Amino acid sequence: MGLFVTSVVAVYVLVGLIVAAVFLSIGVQSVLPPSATMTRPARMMLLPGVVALWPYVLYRWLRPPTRR
Amino acid sequence: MSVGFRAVQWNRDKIVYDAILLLAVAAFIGIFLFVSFTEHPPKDRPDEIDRYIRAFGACAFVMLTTILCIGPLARLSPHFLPLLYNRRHFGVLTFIVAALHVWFMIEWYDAQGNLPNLWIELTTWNDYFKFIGFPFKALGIAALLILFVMAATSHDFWLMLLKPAAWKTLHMGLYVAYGLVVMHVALGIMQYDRSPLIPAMLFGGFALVAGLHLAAGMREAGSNSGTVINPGWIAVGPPHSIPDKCARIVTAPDGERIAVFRDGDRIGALTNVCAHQNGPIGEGRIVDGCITCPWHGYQYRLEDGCAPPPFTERLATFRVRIHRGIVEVDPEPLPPGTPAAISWAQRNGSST
Repeated sequence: MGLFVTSVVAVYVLVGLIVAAVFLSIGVQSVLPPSATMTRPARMMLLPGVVALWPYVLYRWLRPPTRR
Repeated sequence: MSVGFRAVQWNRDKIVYDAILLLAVAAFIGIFLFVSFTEHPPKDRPDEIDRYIRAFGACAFVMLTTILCIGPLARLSPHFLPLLYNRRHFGVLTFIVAALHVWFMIEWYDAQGNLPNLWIELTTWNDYFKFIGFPFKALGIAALLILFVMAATSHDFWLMLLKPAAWKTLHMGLYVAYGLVVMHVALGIMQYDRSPLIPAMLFGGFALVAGLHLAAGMREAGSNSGTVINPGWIAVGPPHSIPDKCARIVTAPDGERIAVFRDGDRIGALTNVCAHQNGPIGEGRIVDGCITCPWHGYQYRLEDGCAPPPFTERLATFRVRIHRGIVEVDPEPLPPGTPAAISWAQRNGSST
C-alpha cells in the first residue's frame, strides 16, 4: 500500500514537471489576459504551483477560449 | 494592480517588512538554540539535531499563529493593516521554516541509521485507528503539504487563473493546516515531554487565534447598519452621515455587504468585496478620485465600479437614491461596471 501511494505521488510529480516545463515555456501566454506579459523569473517561480496543480493548469490551457 | 506579472513587485515597504521578518525568525531560532544548548548540552549528534527540530518546529507554529492573528487584528484596528500588507511573504517563509523542521527530522533518523523506521511509522496502518499512538508525523506532513500548495500559489498569477473565490477557498486551507499542527504537537512531543511550556504555547496560541476571530466577528456583526424601510430599498442615512471620501457599509437581506461611498456631492454604492483578494473596500478611502481597497490598494471608480485604465477589474454596483433626505440603496446588484452613482446635491426629494 505504501509503495503504491509513493508510486502514484512520484508519477504525479513527474508528469507535473513535464507539464510545467512545456506550459511555462510556450503555454502560459495563452491563459494571461490580453496584452499581459510575464517575466522569466516569474515563470520560474510558478513552477512548484504548476507541478502541484498541473491537471487544472492543463485544463485551463487546453480548453477552447470563451467569448465574453 | 498590474498588466505584467513579475516574480515579486518589490518596493521599500516590502523590503523593510521582509527584513524585519527574517531578523525575527533568526532571533527566535538563535535564542531557542542558545538556551537549549546552554541549559542542557546535547549528549550526541541525534540529540543535537533534536534541538534543531524543536527550534524550527516551535518557530513555524509561532509564525502560523501570528499569520492567523493578522486578519482579525486588521479588522479590529487599522493600525495592524501594515502587517496584512505582505502576508504572502510571511506565509512563504513559514512554509520554508516548516520544511526545515521536516528536513531535520529526516536527518535525525538518518543520523541513527534508522531511516527505514520513519517509513514503517508512517505506513503502520493499524496505528491510524488509535488516538494516543496515532502517527503524529503524518499529521505534520499533511500540514506541510497544505502549506506547500499555499506557498506555491501565493502569486497574482494564481489569483487570476483560479479566480478569487477558488483561490481564497484554497488559502483558507491554512485553518486546516493549523488544526493539523495543533494535533501534531498534542499527539507528538506533548506525549513524552512534560514541559509546561509546550501546552502553554500550543493552547495559548490556539486560544489567541480563536479569541481574535470571535472578537472580529462580533465587531463585524455589530457594525452592520441599514434598515429595510421601503420594499426593495435599504436606508443608509442622511448624505452627511456618510463621511466624505469614506463609506458606510450596509447589509442586504441576503447577507451581501454593500459599501456606500460619498465623494463630495457624489454618492455611489458597490459590493464591499474587492476583486483582488476579497478585501473590505468599504473600510478603504477615496484617493485620487478612486475607491481604494485598504488591503492592497486596488482601485475602482465610484461612478461604475471599474478599475481605472489600463486595469480591467470591475465590481458590481448598486442603485442609490435620495428619498426624503435619506440615502437609500437598492440591494439588487447591477452587472459589474454599470454606472450608478448620483449627485445628491441635485437630487433632493423622492427621485431615483
